Amino acid sequence: MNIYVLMKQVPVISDIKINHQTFTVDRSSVGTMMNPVDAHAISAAVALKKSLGGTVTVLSMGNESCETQLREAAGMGADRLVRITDDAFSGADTLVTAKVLAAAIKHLGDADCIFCGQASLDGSTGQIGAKLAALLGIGLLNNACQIDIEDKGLTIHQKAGNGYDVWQADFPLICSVTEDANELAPVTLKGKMAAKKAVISVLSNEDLHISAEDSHSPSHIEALFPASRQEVGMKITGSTEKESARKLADILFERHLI
Amino acid sequence: MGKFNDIWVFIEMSENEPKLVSLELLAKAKELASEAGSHAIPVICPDAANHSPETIINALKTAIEEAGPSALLFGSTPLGREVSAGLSAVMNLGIASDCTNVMYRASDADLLFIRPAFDGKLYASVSLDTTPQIGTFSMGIFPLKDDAPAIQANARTLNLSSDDSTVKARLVKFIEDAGLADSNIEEASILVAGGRGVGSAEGFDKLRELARLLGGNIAASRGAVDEGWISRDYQVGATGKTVTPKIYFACGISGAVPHVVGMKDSETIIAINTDPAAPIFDVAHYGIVGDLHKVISELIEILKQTH
Repeated sequence: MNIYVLMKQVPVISDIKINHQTFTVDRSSVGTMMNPVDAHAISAAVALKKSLGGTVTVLSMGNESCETQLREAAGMGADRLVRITDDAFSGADTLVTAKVLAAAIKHLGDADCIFCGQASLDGSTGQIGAKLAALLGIGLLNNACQIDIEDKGLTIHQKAGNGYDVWQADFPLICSVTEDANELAPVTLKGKMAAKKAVISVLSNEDLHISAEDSHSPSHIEALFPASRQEVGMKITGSTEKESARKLADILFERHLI
Repeated sequence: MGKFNDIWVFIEMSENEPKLVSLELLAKAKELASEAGSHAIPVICPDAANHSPETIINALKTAIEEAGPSALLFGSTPLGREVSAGLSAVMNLGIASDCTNVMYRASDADLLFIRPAFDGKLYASVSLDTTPQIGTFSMGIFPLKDDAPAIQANARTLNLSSDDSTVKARLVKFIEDAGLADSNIEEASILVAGGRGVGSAEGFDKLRELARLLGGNIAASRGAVDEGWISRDYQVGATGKTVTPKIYFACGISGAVPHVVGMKDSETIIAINTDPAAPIFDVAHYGIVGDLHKVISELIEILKQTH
């Protein structure tokens, strides 16, 4: 089985400072981490390898700093680590990112199964799974909260309102996972050694040959601005909480809200 | 400057009825079309549940190539997300997903999309330089002001292939689940939400009792979920669910932006917090500075007396 995982380095959102006069974002002191749900994608890939055999390759697009997270992936049981980087891909939106990842997978050897996280913490567009499925012409199992492995493919549960939709697809397929899909095991000592020793290969556009036209991002951020604030509401002040609660109840009854 | 053509709205049918989010988007598209001097066209996807996203993507692609709309709006439903993302990939189109607003720009004869950035700390205006421009929106972003628009006028119905031999992923079955039904907070008209200020899993029992008396449900901030007091299925916010109930009680929730983006469009927001400087009071319509346990207990007493 040729198993791939798409992993993304994300900023620690709480570190991001915003200048509310200029609406600029200061990322200078911002730490980075593995997109949390991606760890569950790696764990799903390792579980599939244990059942059906094969190799787990983790792909990440980014500069050298994302090698820290790729090493974490090795600690979790990934066999092969690949970082994809090129100035031509900087500022790539979801469309260009999906094209680059699709090209990288074709370059490295066709996938039997690809896992990714449901969405990234920083962009949270949740688009990559569906885009790769369309570009590679393979089945999509989206937002898996339970994964059952069969010889021919996977069956997943997906939350849908009052219950679960159960989807099945044969390999080759791509499966996006949620944090409910599996429990993360603590990294073993053997894993820590593997993370230290891991060799990370690097792919650039010299390997992938993506044309200038195809690396053009069609979406552009024109401006950033703060969330608008609602008009200040009414503070209800009683001498005790009991009195405040009564005043609130009176207002809600009067306005037929309850 | 090019001419702005039709705005298509993907109408997702569920048991022969259009989904509410589809109708909300159609009403919004009509507003945009009247500004742009074009038309809003409902694009009906019949019996969506029984067709694979690939079949729908192919039908949409054919229809788009034939008619050349300028924009295409989708509800951020599981199907809407899959179809819009796949269509964007196969037709090489830009997409603005999970937007909170959209406007017509006469200067460029196109749409400008607004979406949250940096986990909701800021908003970004996003332009797309490919046609049709694609945007996706959650239910409740554009609540219906009047009656639902008719979906038959000017409608176009997708011609979905019945040849399923190329379909790669299949919906096998639906399993009802009482736990998930209980946590279906997007459907609740009243939500009593708790944060770290609730203090314990037992603290949520009082919130649950108030919710039951009001015919609503409970919800939570990420803080309370991370403490393990309540299941993640109840989480509201950027990494949880987006809700727009008639009344949202925010109890012991500080009101950090990632939470607020998930509930700020609720009709009436009531905040209860011991910290008078908590940012939740900036978005609340009514605020009480005090101990939530005492306020909730009293509200429960009052409701018991009136029932």
